[in-house]
Amino acid sequence: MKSKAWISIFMWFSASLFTMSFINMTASPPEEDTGWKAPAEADKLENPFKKDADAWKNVETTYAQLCAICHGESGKGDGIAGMALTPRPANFTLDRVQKQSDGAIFWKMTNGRTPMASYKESLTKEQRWQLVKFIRHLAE
Amino acid sequence: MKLKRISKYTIVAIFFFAALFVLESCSSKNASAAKPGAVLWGENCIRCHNAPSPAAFSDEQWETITLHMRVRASLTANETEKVVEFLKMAN
Amino acid sequence: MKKVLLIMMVMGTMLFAQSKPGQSRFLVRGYAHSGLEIYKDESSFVGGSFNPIFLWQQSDRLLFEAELEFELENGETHLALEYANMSYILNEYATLRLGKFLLPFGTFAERLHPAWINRLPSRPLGFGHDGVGPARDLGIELRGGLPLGDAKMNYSVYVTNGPSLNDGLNPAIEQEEAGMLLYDNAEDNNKNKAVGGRVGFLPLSNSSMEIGFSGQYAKLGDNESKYEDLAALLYAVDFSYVSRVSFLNGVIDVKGQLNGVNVDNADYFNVEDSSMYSFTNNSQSYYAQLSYRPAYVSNDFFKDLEFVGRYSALTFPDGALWESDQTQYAFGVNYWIDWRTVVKLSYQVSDAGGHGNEGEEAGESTDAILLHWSFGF
Repeated sequence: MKSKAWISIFMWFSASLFTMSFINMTASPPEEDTGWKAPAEADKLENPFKKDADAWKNVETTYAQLCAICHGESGKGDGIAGMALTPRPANFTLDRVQKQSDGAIFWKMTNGRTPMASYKESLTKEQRWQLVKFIRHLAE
Repeated sequence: MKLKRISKYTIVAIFFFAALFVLESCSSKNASAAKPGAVLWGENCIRCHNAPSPAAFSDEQWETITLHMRVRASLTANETEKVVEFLKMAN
Repeated sequence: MKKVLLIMMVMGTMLFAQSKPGQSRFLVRGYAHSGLEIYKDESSFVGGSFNPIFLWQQSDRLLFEAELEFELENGETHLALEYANMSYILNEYATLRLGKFLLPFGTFAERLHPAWINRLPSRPLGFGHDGVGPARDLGIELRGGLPLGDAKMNYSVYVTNGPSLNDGLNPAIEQEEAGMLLYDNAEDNNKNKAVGGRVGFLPLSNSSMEIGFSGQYAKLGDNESKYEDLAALLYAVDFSYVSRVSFLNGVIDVKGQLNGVNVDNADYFNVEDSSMYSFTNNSQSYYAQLSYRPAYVSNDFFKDLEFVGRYSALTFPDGALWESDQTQYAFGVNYWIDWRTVVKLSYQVSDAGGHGNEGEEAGESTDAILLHWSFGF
């Protein structure tokens, strides 16, 4: 019984790996870009903490408490609650995020787009700007 | 015989935790009271099923659903309120 | 069938009513599944089941919930009331429930059995119908959760109709199963009520682990019957752990439960040779399940996959006409389309052990390939 079970397991996993490799070829290209763009005027917003290199330190706990559950502790989009969301939480360390202006990131955090929450009311402007700095820090 | 012993342990365990419940309910330190809704949503839903997308339901629907889940998952009022608040913010 | 149509009609009207706003909140949710099952000598598409859940929120404190199960069984639509109860929130830490509810006897029956939550198409041995331990009952329950510093706990205590005994004397139910417990009794057969409860403890500050202990005590026999004072002690231990594992680039989920039923010794009628016989009436079943989701790999297909393995075992008492010793391995690959929609493909090997039930040959093993698709809604 035991050996039979193990042979079945082996065959099972080989078969599933085969199937997966097949489906993988026909899968759509990775959806890197979720198509979420902040409006152009957001780029004009100036980060008041632009010159403050240590501003991110003020929001370390805020990030850990509010953002990490989905975006992951190191910002790679690998928080436990995000694994079943569509689209997946952004990986902040990617160029796709880092190439956006401070204002655009601030705008997205402020307005949200489901399943990303809007933090207009629960975070102050200062906190949101500092979180932008934190996101920059994550990619360093 | 072995089963009898296991059941005894179960009873002892139940009493042990019942005692804990009485003793510790007086404790003022409370980690979940300090947690924001997003964290409570992530940590508690996933104990049984995927954390649901906030987009799945409307504000009103979430209110009924979280009440249903509050009972099922034995959440406190404080935890439930924060989870609803987060879901409404993110849907 | 008429009954089914009537209920469908009522449901239809309720759904329609939902579009009108008002103070009362009404919501239909639920889950469904169907699939393809392949055994050695047969294969079949299975209609699976459709389980609507009705939620009626009367106020912030009062909720009515009911679940129906429509299932295709032997060519007929089978309808069952899974639960129908009212919850009243007493305070921050306590809720009162009245009616028919899923019993917090372990966690599988109460929390994990719905098709979109269960990680495998099948249930563990002993956790389905004719299993070890109850899944639902009629009664009153007090339940709630409490913070314990960095940890948390939850509790439930209840009084219900409780199990009754198959005493082997009623020709309408399987007489060869004398000594087995019958659960989910719409009417109690005696004045005694079952008393039980569960305590769950979440020791870690992120609530990722839970250990639960459940117990229930009940007298079983019919009033004024020879078995009137016969009692049973039921117990369950459950475990759950869900966590991110960085080096695996994913999330692991461990679940397990042990159920036991100990019934006082008694003499039963043996239908096979018309004598009286006795045995130590203890039954047990358990399962352990591990699943892994490579949720954070960069590949778009792999990140929605899940691999599951489960071992389960069931033991019915030695010496009983229904004695049995079964084990089962189940392995599966799931693909998550979204957070509540999943396609589950699994392979399971069951071993009926020394003495099989209902004409199964001793030691016979049955293999099956199950492909299910499940929706939560």
